[in-house]
Amino acid sequence: MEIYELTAREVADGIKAKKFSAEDVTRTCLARLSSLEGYLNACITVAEDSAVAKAREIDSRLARGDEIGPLAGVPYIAKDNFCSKGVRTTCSSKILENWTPTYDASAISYMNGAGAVLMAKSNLDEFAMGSSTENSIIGPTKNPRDLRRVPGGSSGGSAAAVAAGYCPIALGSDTGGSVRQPAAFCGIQGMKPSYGEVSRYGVVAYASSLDQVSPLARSVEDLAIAMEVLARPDPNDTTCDAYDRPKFSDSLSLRDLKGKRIGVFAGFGAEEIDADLYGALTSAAEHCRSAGAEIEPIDLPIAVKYGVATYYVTALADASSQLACYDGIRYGAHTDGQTLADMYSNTRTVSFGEEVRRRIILGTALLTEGYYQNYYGPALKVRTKMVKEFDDLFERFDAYLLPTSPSMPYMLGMKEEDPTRMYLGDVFTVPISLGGLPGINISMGLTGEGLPLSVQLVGQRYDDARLLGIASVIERLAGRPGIANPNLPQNAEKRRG
Amino acid sequence: MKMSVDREITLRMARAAQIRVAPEDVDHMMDSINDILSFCALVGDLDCTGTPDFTWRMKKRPSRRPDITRDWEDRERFKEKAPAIDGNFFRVPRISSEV
Repeated sequence: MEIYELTAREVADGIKAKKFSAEDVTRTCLARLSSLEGYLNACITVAEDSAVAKAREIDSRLARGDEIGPLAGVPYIAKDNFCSKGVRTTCSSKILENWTPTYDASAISYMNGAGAVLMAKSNLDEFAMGSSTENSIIGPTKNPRDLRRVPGGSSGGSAAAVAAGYCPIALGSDTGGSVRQPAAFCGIQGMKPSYGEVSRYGVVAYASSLDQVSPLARSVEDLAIAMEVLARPDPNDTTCDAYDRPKFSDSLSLRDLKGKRIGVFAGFGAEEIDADLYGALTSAAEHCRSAGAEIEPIDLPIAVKYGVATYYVTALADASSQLACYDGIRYGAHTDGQTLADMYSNTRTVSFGEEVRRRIILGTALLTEGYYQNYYGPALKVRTKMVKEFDDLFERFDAYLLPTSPSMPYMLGMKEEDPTRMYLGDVFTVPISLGGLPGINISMGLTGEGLPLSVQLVGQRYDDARLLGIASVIERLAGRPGIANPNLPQNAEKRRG
Repeated sequence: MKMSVDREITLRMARAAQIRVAPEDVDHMMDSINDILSFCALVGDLDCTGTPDFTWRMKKRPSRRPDITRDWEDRERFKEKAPAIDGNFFRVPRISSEV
């Protein structure tokens, strides 16, 4: 097995056991990136020099017998909306195209402090607004399982990088499914933690009441290790809960699901969900049953019917407020104007992409007199009712199984003209975000054509550790995902020909 | 209640958002805003009588940071990012009412 196929835990163990050096690992992963990046376009900036320097530092510390962290020498990639000191952070937007932060996001500080090596910053839809990673200043990222298809989004660069073996672990941000859906489309594991579990400090906001820092990996164990590094109180983020977190990796000792009750979503029939994904949901339920869990069908009528509309009202209103800080003075691009107002609107009109402009204008409308009373106000109440629906079900169940996406990864460039239909692709992920619940995309293998299958496991808020335990049992039965086709470049050449 | 925007409201919202919409793009922007408003009107269909507005609950609120001046990073590095500088300050154009 090649080094780039190992999980983060295997890499960290191998470095500690001196089977290979941190520098070997980083150089191998950089070479893997270099060999595939021309096809995938998953990264906006590659921090080769600083990554190699950090890996050497880990090797020196290990040679001196110093204490090294749980992810020492493990290369990782962060979505390009995480502030990284000295490394350009663009959000895939012209407005931040040349912006280099003077500080690290807390999540980056924690990963670096645990010894992980920041290798690159990954592609995303501009300001995380999208579900396909096509809406970017560097162009679309391609799905490493099938280069003709999208990798999902908005954390599509991070998901493609992990699936392709650039690195064993990556950071993304999940607002309405932006880590779970690309993890599903690329055939890997991805976890959105409970809202408040991980600090958002230094992550460029799309919608602050929903955004969560979320890890992607090729094993549930790596997600648990990442959570141990990332989830902790942070006085720099007032939405980050100050409670003492459990030791997430302890949950991985769960051997079976005896005594657990798992609800399986039965609100849509096979005709409304892709047949292969419906089969994956059924298989996951069977795995839970064979592991000793009691399985019962559930429905989520409020979440499914009202979730997407509530999400867009909430997220767009949040976005219009959050993106007001791009004024042409404090951050990034600047376009002159005769008056201050001219300068603001010149900068924002020239430097935001079309989808971002549309969402900001719409969000502004939703917060004005009349629209607020008919949209934003009711959405706040529907959100309360949705949380109650979840809470009521959690009195009877330990976790739910749902699809992550109702459809398989679609073809690049297959633009959906009707935006509301496009948004319906998020029907199973956005309610989980609105409820602040933890959700894990679990790979369920590949179809005969090599396309990824997956299921979403959802738990009660703050029950992240127990959810990881249940996910690890399902993963043992379903099989851990491998890296995307190692013959990718040859296949790509044929396709291009 | 379902609401919609016309050309005038679209332009007013764009001005409030500090974004310019070119005359030839107004209809497209208006239509796409109306598509979303039409879909999102669903939030008014659920009977929420007596339901409070959503707020996040926390297990333990974080303690507040001390309200004191903190050490700055290198001030010169921030000034380098400014479009224009006047001494130690960012220079900006006049606001319209003062022109």
